[in-house]
Amino acid sequence: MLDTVRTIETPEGVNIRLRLAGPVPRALAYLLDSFIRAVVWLVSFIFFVRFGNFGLGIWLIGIFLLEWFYPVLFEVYAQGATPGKQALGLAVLQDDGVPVGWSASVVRNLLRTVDFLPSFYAFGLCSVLLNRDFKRLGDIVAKTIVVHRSKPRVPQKLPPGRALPLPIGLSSPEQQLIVAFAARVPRLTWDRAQELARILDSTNGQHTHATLHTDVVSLIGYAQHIVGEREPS
Amino acid sequence: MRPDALTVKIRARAHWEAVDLGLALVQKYWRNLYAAWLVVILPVVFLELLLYLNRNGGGRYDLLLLWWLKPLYDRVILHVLSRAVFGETVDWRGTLRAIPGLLWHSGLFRALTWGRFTPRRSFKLPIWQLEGVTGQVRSKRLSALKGRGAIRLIFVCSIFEMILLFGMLGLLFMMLPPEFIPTHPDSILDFLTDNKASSWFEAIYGFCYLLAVSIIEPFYVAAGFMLYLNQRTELEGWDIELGFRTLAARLEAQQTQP
Repeated sequence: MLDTVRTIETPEGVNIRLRLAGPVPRALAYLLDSFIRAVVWLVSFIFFVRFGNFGLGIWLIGIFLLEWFYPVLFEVYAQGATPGKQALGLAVLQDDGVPVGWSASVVRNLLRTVDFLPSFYAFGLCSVLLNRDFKRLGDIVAKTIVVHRSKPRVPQKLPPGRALPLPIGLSSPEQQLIVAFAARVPRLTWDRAQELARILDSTNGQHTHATLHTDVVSLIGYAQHIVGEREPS
Repeated sequence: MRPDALTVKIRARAHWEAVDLGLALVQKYWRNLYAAWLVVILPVVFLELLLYLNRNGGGRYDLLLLWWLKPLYDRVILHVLSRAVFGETVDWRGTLRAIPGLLWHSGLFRALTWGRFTPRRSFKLPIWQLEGVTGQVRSKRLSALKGRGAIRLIFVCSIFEMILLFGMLGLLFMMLPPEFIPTHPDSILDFLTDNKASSWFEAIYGFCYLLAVSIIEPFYVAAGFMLYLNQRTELEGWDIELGFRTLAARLEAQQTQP
């Protein structure tokens, strides 16, 4: 099964799923960051230019620090995300899934000079397109990855219905699946919802003592019951 | 279309994740993709060369043809990808056989004329080509599926194309010995008006552009295709369907051996 997820086992034996981020959202995040920096350049220039050559000197030092430490500081102190990455829901992590530290962040950002060659990140783009983990050269050297942190928007609100107790035992992921179905019903066409519900009909017509009712209304009822049990009010 | 036959993992994704999945798809099937790509691009390159060699002075718009025919290449790429997601590989012979069908039944004429400038090209293509619907039904499908993210995708992909083009030109420029590089304004003008030098430059420029399109276009089409699949997954509950099928199989197994 082709997917952009990498599963990493932590020393505690917990599996975490990292969803890798590719060139398009990363480029957009970079554009946003560049725009933010350009605004800072301009505003600080207007401020410092009033102090003559001395002010310009300070401004140039400030620009230098901004260009080199803007990504590093945000990556270390703001959960691995510059404002641009934050806006796109991205974050930088180390290969093993832990938050990015000083040394890794400094390395990956210093190597922007290599990724930038020969102009406008052409090497970096080629590297991201060719690498299976979508890494640019700086990521390869610093052993970092860029991942999607924001969850896709999945509907949570259930349509109204009378709670029905489950006639059979279902595991927790299976219960979640029924809740997910119920929450999705308003977005599906009614025919499609019924079609989906009938998939669960495993009895082939012969009714035994305990089976799921496989119509949309009953499934919504089961979902209500599952959710109601989880958070009794 | 049976979602359980797909070889790409179906789950609820944000649209940027779907775009990234397009890149993973290209990385996995690049051999088949570039075999098909050569089948369709070689005749065009041949035509370009003829135009280039047979021109007298004019002909600065040769590369427009290479750009204009992009919807044609897109259809061939999507043909390979749409088979690949069902685990079926297409070699160059299969591509050659498929081309006549693609020319007539995928709305190519419209895509090459008044439909050439639509910014959601990559997202519309699967509806035109794979669903094979026309007229009112097609417009209804388009408005039902919306195609969020498609315009931002083409924006970024055109930037990528330019980055690669100027990257390659810049790299060549760095390799040139300094005495070949015009620095004085007069000599730059000489360089541009000198027919021999500028026609060399145009040939190199054209070749770099060809390479840039060859690298970005398969990714662009794959990303648009994945946006389309993701939208259908969401609107038709494919992820739910797959989960329900697994659950039904378990319940059935439980019933046969209680």
